[in-house]
Amino acid sequence: MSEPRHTPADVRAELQDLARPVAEELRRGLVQQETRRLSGLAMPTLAFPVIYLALVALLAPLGLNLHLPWLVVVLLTAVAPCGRIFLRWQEANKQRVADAAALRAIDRELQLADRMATAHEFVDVQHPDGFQLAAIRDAQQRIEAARHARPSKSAAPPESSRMLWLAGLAAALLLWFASMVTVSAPIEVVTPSGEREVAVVAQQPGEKPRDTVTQTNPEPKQLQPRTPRKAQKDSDSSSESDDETPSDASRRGKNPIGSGRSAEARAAAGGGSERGQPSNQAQSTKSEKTKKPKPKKKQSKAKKDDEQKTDEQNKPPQESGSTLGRGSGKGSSKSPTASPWSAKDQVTSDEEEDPDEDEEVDDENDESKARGGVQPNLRQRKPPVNRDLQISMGSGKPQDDANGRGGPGGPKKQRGVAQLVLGVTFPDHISAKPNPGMSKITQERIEPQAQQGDSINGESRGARAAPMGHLSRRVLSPWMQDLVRSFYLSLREEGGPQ
Amino acid sequence: MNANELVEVAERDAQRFRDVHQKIKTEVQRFIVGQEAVLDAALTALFAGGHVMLEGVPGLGKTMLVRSIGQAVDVPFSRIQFTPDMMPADIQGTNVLVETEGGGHELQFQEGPLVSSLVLADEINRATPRTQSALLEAMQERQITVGRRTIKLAEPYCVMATQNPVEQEGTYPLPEAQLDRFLMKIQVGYPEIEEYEAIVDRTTAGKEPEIHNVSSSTEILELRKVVLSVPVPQLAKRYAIHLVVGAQPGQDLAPKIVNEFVSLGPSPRAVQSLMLASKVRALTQGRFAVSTDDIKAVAYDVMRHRIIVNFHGQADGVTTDRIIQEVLQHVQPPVV
Repeated sequence: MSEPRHTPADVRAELQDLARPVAEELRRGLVQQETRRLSGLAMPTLAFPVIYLALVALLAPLGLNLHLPWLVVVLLTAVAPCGRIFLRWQEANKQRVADAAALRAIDRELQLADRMATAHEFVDVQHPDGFQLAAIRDAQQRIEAARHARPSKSAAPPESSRMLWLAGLAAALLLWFASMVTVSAPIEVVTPSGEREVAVVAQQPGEKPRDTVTQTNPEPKQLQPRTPRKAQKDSDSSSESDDETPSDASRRGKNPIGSGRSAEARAAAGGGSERGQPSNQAQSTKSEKTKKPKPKKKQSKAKKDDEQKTDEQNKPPQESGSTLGRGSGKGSSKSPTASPWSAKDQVTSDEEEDPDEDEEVDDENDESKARGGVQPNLRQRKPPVNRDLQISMGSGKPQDDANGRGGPGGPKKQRGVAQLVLGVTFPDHISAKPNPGMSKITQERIEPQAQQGDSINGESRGARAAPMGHLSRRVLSPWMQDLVRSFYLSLREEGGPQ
Repeated sequence: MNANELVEVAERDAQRFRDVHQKIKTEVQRFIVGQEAVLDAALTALFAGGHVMLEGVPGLGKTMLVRSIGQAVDVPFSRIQFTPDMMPADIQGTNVLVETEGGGHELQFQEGPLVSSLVLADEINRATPRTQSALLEAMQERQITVGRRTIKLAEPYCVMATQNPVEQEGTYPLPEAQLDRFLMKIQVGYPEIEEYEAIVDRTTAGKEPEIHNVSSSTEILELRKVVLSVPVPQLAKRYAIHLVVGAQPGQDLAPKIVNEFVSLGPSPRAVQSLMLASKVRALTQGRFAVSTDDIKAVAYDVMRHRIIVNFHGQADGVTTDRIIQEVLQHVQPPVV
């Protein structure tokens, strides 16, 4: 039995010496691990893009454009996650790994079954018993070996945080979306009646905010003379141009005719001026409202606008104020009167030979919608569809075009008998298992009555004529077989049945 | 006594414990082939002063193991084969009418098989709850009460019960209160394939090995004191507590599987049992203090019968061993 070489105080010092470098290593590993942890960086990455997008969305209606260079945007996006990493690093740096934890790490690494940590605890006991002293000595004998072995650094590789990737993607999308948000500058326009209207004009991020047009003194209402159809069309197309700019508006404001009027106000004025004629005002306003931006159409109309501008410069202004606020010029040219849709076939103009045929079709659709519903288009000259709604019950396919709409495809027509018929055919027979329903048992109080039954006379069955075929033999137990065998043998001996 | 002497005494006691433990183990292993973990657990219960439940299918040598331990340790040994018609008086003892020398008769108390030191309760789940409950007092209080008579049971007292987990027809599963009184529940499995040959040789050659007494009840009692003197550091103590708390549903330390599938967790008695069993293991491993490794090693045997899986868990085939495994993975040793 070897003598203990050191007192518990000496062992404590040795253990602390052993634990200190390990604790420092563990602390460094913790710092490294903490700074490499990516999972908590997702939200900070999204912080700036969300704020940026919110600011852009808030300032856009005010006409302010928050357009930052991309370099600044990227830098500002990276500030939050980097700051988070810095804070983590600071917090992890402040942490101190206790000696007990370091000794436990040594125990775990060297598989010492908590000998070091236990000894570290027992050396602080004031009056240790024999087993505690023995445990301290046991640990002391292993200190030297543990000095050379260090726990492996827990430098974990950077974790692959799916959330961070998603957050980065979301941030990029948000920033892109923020850059694509178009800033709209409001334009105040005062109607002839004195009401102030705000017209919002789309503005690209690079553009400067446009000036608002404000007219406080509306001009007196004037009766507009009737204008030739061509000029009216031109004026309509020029007035309905989507690319209308405030400069155009201001230029029109200088124009003595129809100046200072909003589009609707001008349209109203035009409607009022064309008394005695079938009004197409509703048609034109409807087409204005239902107009959809089409790039191709815009291009063609922009060309026409340019031509009109040159014409306007060459010619004196002949257009009336009533036509300025009108909608589709084509629609008005094709339907000069408020004739029904069937009159379209009679309209022949040079524009029918226009190669841009689809534009006309769109305009016709707009027109038909403007009349209060979708009308059958007879210009397509397609044979009428079968209105038979009968469904072939199981014999074959129902007729494809038998929708009862009175026209080829499309939504349900609004005219004639067809509108009374359902557009969607409902089969009146569904092949399915009928519900048996709840069973119900009813009892009736009926007195039993005697009934006469036919009597059957018994008769001999007779012998079987045909062979019985194969009969499986019943398996008898051995003693039963012996019994049967002896029975028949005894019968045979007595002269019984053979 | 100075520090050196204290250390010497401790080292001597620990060495003696290891020697006796090894001697008993070696003697039993002359007859029992394999099942070393089961033997270790049974000896742990014996030295820790607890009772042990052996669960396994028939033919694995459970009864033989307990009988061998009883033969290796020179202690009074008795065996009770439980049956459904067994009454408490059959195991505790009863007053019987005996004839005196003068020709008269008197009632004399006849002790039952429970009054012994090492009791083998074979197929304990075949007895009715009434008879099973007669074991409660003996196991916990180390005494039996029959009428007005109370008999103190001699130490060391250890009940080693066996039960068959498969054959459940006509059995009475032990209630939780009685299960909790067992220090350990050991699951006896099939021997390894290499061990079958030795089993055949030893049991069918017509010459069974003889088991000698290598220890005594006095020695067992002394070694129990040695076990109790093994210190438990704060780290191991807290770890044992955290493990037990972690196996209780609704606790912060409990993993998901506990909250989901456990209807009843281990009681504080489980912490006591963990400590006692860990102390024995620390001594057998040549250490002077309990470590978290000891607690991990005995956690299965100590906590297995103290966790009640709910109906949902039973339907999903969740076993208590799986729950303990999850708890061991979830609860890490705390840093003191």
